[in-house]
Amino acid sequence: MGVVALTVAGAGGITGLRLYPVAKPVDPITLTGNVGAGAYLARASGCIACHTNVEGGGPPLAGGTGFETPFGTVFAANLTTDPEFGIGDWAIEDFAKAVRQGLSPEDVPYYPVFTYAFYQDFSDQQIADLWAAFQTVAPVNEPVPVTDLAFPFSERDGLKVWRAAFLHAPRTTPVSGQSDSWNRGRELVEGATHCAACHTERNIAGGRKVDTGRMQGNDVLPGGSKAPAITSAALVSSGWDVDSLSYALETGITPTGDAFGGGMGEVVQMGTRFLTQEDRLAMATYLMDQSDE
Amino acid sequence: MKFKTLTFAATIAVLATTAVAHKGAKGMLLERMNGMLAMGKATKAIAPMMRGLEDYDADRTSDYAAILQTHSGDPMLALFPDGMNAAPSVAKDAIWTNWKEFSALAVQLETYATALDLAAQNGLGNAAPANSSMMGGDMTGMMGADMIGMMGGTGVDEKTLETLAGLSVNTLFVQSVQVCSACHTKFRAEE
Ligand code: HEC
Ligand code: HEC
Ligand code: HEC
Repeated sequence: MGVVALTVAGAGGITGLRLYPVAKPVDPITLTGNVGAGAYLARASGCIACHTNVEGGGPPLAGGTGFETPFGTVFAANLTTDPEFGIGDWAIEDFAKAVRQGLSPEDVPYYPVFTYAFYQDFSDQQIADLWAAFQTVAPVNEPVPVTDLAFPFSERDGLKVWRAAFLHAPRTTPVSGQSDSWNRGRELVEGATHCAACHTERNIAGGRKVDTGRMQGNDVLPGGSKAPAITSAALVSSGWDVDSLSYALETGITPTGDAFGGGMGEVVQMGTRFLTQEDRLAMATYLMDQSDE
Repeated sequence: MKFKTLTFAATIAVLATTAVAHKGAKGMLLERMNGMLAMGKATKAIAPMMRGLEDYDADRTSDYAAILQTHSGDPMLALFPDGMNAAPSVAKDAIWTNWKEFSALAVQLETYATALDLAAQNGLGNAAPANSSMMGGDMTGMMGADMIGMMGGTGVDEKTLETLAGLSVNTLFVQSVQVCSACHTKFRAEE
């Protein structure tokens, strides 16, 4: 359905869509951010991992990392304080709209390769923290390669249709009756650390099957890799428990003594190993008991 | 104590050789897989001690280091002849198109194993996670010095054996496994 809609939009409706408003107003954010908390959240959320071209030896957060999709390669943006090619001339409200809504300062939609869907519930304080941390990044005056997808996907306005069909709210709201740790784990797993971005199957239009495919694994990740199912039942049957899972998020060591590979090696190397012990334990606690539905 | 250690090593050896016909692999591929499996089994067995859940025993650390040494560096590389990745192998083609990096990781693991052996007597060290420093309270900005180190992958390339051998055993253990993971991330496909 999504592809059909997108194609229709591509064939005729794009001009109309350009005027179709999707942005929610962003109230002014005047809170003072905490750099340390922002860096921690940036690490947990993968901002640093995706926006640093480690492979190409690129400077931190200068973007340029390419993500293969069936429709072409999408390049991560330069997030340094450079005013020309980075986000140095942005206001915090622009940043908030990009991170929580996936929209540019001009309200043009970003491709969902950018995992903004998982950041929709970030609070104003969390946005202020991230913003403060990003202000400490040295400017890099270099553009990233231009993302050039096949038509109709080249038309970003077509993404408005995609958004209407596939932009789901993250399941981060606390569940009463569960422990603080479980709820913290839920917030991290379903939100910031975006485990479902890889571990949930996508439909033909790249939308996550949040009803039928939740954490059921994905055999066709960008670049041809596969992520196994990580529902509680699947984890139990592959020999995981809370302890081994939180240890794996710290070290990459699995219960059989193997070491994570694929995208998962990077998730640990560039993300979860920097979290606190409590946060990793919280994530494992939630993952082994995703019992609310 | 020595007896226990020998039993440990012997168990590992048995475990490794009983993995015959693993996934239907034969010959050199089977040997390659068994080498990896031996390191996996040894890592699983030693992890509780490295986490401080079992009493520290320097001999066990040395035995573990010996197993890694046996299966890393040149011995490991010898089992990856050009293009040998037909099923059931999950080795990626990138190994041979990027042999320089692949072989550097194999050698790096050997260096870590040697350092682990040298450091065995240093003791376990602080049980806190080896990598939490970057998020320590002294971090002044997103681009703290530790972070730059992180950006260079595992950040171990330039460290000499002497520097490494001065580290605590649990730090070295975690960093060794990061080498396994870094290699699996780039050069091993999922099943
Ligand atoms: C999975 C990879 C990934 C992660 C994780 C990720 N991003 Fe991005 N981000 C991208 C890509 C790819 C783009 C470009 C999207 C496009 O061109 O439509 C992007 C675009 C952006 C932009 C738009 C920049 C511009 O110049 O228009 C901002 C701002 C941004 N990301 C911030 C963040 C922040 C903050 C985080 C962490 C909270 C984050 N990103 C996490 C991949 C990622
Ligand atoms: C970039 C994609 C990606 C993201 C994001 C990701 N994973 Fe994974 N995950 C993978 C891949 C690929 C594998 C298979 C790893 C391998 O073959 O070594 C995997 C494997 C796993 C496994 C092992 C499962 C098993 O049955 O052996 C667990 C547990 C896991 N991931 C948990 C998580 C958690 C928790 C998160 C969020 C913090 C997460 N993953 C985020 C790609 C990802
Ligand atoms: C230089 C690269 C490299 C290093 C370092 C490395 N591995 Fe591997 N490992 C591989 C490759 C490639 C495969 C897939 C081999 C194949 O299928 O042909 C593999 C496979 C494995 C397997 C699966 C074996 C099977 O057939 O089921 C285990 C377990 C494993 N490695 C454990 C480890 C451990 C533990 C370490 C570190 C102590 C480690 N490896 C270090 C490259 C590496």
